Amino acid sequence: MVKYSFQSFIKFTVLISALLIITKVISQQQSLTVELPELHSYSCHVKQALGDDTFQIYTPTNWQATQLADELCSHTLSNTAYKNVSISWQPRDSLTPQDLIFNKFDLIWHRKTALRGLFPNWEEYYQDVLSLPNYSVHLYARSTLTDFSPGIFANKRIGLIDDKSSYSGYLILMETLMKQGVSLDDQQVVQYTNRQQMINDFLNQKIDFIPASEFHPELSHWPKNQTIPLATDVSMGQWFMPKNIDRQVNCKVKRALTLYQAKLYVISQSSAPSITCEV
Amino acid sequence: MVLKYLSIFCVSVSLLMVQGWQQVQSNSLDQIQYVLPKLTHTAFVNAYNLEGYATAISDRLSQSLNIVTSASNFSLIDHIQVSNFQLKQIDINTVSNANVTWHDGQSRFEAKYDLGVHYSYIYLLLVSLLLSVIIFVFERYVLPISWTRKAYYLFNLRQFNHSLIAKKPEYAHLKQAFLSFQLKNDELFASITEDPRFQPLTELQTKWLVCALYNQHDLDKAFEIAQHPDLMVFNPSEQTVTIHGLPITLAKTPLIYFSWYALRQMDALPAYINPAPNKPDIENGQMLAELMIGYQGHKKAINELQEKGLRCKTLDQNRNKIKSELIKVLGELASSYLIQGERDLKTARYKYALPVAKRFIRIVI
Repeated sequence: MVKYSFQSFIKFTVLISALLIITKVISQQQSLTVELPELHSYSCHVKQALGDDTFQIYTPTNWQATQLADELCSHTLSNTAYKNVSISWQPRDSLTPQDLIFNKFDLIWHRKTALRGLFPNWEEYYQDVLSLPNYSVHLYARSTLTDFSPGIFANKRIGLIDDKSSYSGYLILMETLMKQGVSLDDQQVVQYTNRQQMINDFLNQKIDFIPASEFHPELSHWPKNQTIPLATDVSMGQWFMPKNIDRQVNCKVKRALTLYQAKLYVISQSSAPSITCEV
Repeated sequence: MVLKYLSIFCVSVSLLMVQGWQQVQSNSLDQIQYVLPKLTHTAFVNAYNLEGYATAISDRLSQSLNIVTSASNFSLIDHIQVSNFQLKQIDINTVSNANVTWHDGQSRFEAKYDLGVHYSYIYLLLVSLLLSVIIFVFERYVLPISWTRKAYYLFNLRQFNHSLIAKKPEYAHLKQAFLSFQLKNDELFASITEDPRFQPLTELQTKWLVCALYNQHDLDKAFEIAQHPDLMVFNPSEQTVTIHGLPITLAKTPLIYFSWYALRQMDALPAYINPAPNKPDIENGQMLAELMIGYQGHKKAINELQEKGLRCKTLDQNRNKIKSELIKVLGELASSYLIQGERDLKTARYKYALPVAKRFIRIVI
């Protein structure tokens, strides 16, 4: 009796093990590809679109980017040949000359110097639509700062944006330090992938110095005597559109853009020329 | 049987589903873990309003992640759905229980998501069907061919096993008895050793056990005989003398002579001296004849006894027949039950008696 059930048990175990192994092998033959979309863009559908084209915008930052796209979708580009609006804020150093030549973008916010760097004959393809004012960049500190002396950085940590093309986050400060003959240890430099984190850490006293433009609301009340100007006439860039774009679209977008920038207090309300476009 | 097949089928289906799910989960997790940090890094350069931005990204991911392209055409999983994506920036020191977490410079991110698996039921059922048929056939036709026994014979394990058993000192007497009766059945030997009735047997009883087996009795009868009290039961009507429970068939005439010697023991008579060759014993011959008549013995033998009396020659003949038969059946055990003789000093003739005490003899009338 005992012998029989023991044999049965062995049989059962053998079968189950065989099943487990075979099913495991079969399952491992599955291979899947997970496709994630790129995350540095936003799209919307144009109201009452008349065609199938996509209006592509490039900006260097995501700041208010979706709002601009939404405005174009809901008002500006309705009843035009555009079906979708897509705005991208991919890192600046990922733009290629081909993007310019083949008119990948219908609206670009960039600096003239950068465009020239990408493609010297950029003016054959793009035209200036709206100029933005210059701004200044300051060095913010945790204690009173009067001028630049090499000693002020001793044993202190400085935040920088890990984007070598960023003026306000990287280039200007680096240039200044070089001019002043200050060299920093690796431990003193803390690199940030995004601005917000850098500003937060500065406010939370995790770092002692940061470079920043005048536009950050969190820093607007920072004591003046704890800042030093690094550069005062930094170009904010311009908005460009392709030369061969439909004139009406050009006009409409220009108008929308101007109002948009005025709303953002980038340009002053009064200096915004009133634009009328032919119907 | 149908039930068995169905259960194998169900087990295959569930195993395939579970393991497929596990595989897909870990596979997709690996991919997401690899790709998502890079995508996030690119997107977060120069980014503002991180909380709102993270939410926007999460929504974006939730909308567009109805993935899976299975690389192979044949697949048990039709597609998977990643949904409810929640991407957040978290504090460096927070303990996160999200699916994926990673560092990016000074920042730390986590991403949670739900994974829904959609099976390709047709393939699933087909494969399970095939699998369960294979397992079922294997179980029914391959396994039962006493695979253990096959293995045994294949590797001579059984014989090896038996020879090991035979070597054990506690079975020495059994081995001896087997040898004595020239029995060569290893399987039988092994089954005796495993029988609980074997353990309490004495050496002598073991011999009786084997003797019974030698005489073609089944194991149960053999044990009965082994444990039987040591009696000689004479039953001339049935033509048997049962010794120690073992029935031995003898021809009528020798059996009655045997019984006569036994009766003499019961009556406490001395050993019977062979009559002189020229002077047969009329009196005893008459008694023996009467005995034979009572047991319906052969006419010829009866007549001989009545006419010529009990002769030495006849006695010797019958005693030899008894002896040869007993030895044939009982082997070495026969010696205790054979009629023994010695020389009578007075008459210089041999005298014979059954050397078994009265209490061990029964005679059936």
